[in-house]
Amino acid sequence: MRSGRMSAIVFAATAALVVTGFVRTTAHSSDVWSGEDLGTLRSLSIRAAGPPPPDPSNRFAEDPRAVALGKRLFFDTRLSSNGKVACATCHLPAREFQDGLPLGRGVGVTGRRTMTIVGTAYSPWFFWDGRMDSQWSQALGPLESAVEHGGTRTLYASVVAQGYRREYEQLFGALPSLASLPRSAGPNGNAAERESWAALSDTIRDSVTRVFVNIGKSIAAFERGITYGPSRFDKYVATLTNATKPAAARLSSDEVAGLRLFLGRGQCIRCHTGPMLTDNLFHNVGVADRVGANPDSGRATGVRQVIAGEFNCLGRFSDAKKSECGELTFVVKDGAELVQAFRTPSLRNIARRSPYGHAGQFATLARVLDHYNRAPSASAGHSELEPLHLTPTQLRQLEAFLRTLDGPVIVPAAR
Amino acid sequence: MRSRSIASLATFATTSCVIALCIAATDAPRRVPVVPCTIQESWNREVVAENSRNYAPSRLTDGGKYRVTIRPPDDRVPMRTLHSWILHVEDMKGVAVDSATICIDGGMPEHGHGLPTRPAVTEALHNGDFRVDGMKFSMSGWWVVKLTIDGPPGPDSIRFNLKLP
Repeated sequence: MRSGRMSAIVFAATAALVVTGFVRTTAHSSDVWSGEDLGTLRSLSIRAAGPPPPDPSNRFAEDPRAVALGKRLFFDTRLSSNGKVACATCHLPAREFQDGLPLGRGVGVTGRRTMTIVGTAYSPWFFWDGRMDSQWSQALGPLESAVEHGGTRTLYASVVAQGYRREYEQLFGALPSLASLPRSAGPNGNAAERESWAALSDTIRDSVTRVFVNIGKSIAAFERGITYGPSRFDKYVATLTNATKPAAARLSSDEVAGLRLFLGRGQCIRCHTGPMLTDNLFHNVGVADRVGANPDSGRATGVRQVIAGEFNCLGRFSDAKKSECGELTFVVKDGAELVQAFRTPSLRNIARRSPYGHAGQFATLARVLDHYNRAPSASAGHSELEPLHLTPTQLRQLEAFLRTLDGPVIVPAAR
Repeated sequence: MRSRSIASLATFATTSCVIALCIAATDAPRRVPVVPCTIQESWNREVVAENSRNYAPSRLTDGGKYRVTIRPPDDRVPMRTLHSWILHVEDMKGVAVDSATICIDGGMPEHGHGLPTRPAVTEALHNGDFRVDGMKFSMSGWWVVKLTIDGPPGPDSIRFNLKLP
């Protein structure tokens, strides 16, 4: 009995030495993380993302025919009032599916920065203010915006009839007859276009709107598969959490120090959580409006728009059951925290996506970090930030870490 | 004499069990409509020492009128995912409360913000169980879920603490 206990002690001591030796030979001292931190790091890894959650509001979301049609529509400039603007005009595949401009430029200039569409299938809310609640309804917003695509529902239905009839009808059934319809009419167009739309019968308006909705559902099917591949950070986490492999993907000591600040004193992890490094929620972080711009109330207005929206999850164009619309049913509808609150952007590939802020207010990552360090008051509502008091070296380390989040963008091959 | 007593007892027990089973079989869960109800706490920044927080999932309300048990799915709170809870409510005699107006809200006192959703009790199920839909937690750390309950024993409230990994 006693010798058994001694054996156990000797075994435990040997095991401890072996483990210590292993850590010393395979990991730099800065790579030693607590069990709690390792759990957090795993939760941030792209491996934790898995496939995007289902979108019950779009029954064509996984249909390869919709992916193929949506891809062609995404690049089609005929879907605009001047024949020059496609989705890809602002969401450039070579630029992380965004445009690198402070404000988006379609047929006019928007009031906000173009958001990337990469990884958006993981989000319940769209746009900076979450005024849409699905990828397909998001795709419809710019099409009817006077400063983005600038077109109307009858115009878009005729583009489908002329350019995509066969593919469309295979998926969605027969197109309505459009021969006698005005070329450009819609409920969100200019005065003449709205008047023409109002003059149409309910049945025709409904059938044209269904074509419009199906354009959105096809584009969403294409966008659904656009996501991020593993970054240096993800490879680092993979080696940390798999002790049988050598730590092949090292981060520099500055990058690791930046990661520790990200989880700790920098408090970045409070909002930049999960594998997409965003909580997909809305926060007031005291980013001032652009000089001369109209005050932007952010989520306070966006939530009213999504609740009233024709194309929301609970609407008649959605394929979801009411019980599948929990995010909208249980949405936070009001409250001071919504004023000037904007959706947390993903930090994946963030170094490639300057300028930053909902209206491109910050030219560089260094300026963003300086803002978070100082935590100025909000011009409206109440900023959630508090000064961080980080040193210039620590800010540099945080930026170094953010640059490790660069990875490939994966675009599905459409058949 | 003794064997007869045992036989009577066995008969009584069997009969009772049969009756109980019949009651259970005919008394299918009754879904009682609930009164829509919300509370909105202001989650001002608040510091409470870790060792003074009670993390028990089954507790008495502040005024001692109810015993409430919170049951997240599989006893584990998922992160960043919309999910449902079951609340079990009993009065002080251990009798299930089937009819009560229950409001729910939650937040992070240390961070000064609420839940990212506005959950609600959507169904009174049976035997003191109430379904809560729209629960969602956006980050790890210390969360507080506050309930106000107004049933036959009167109004009362309770704050549950959760520590999410």
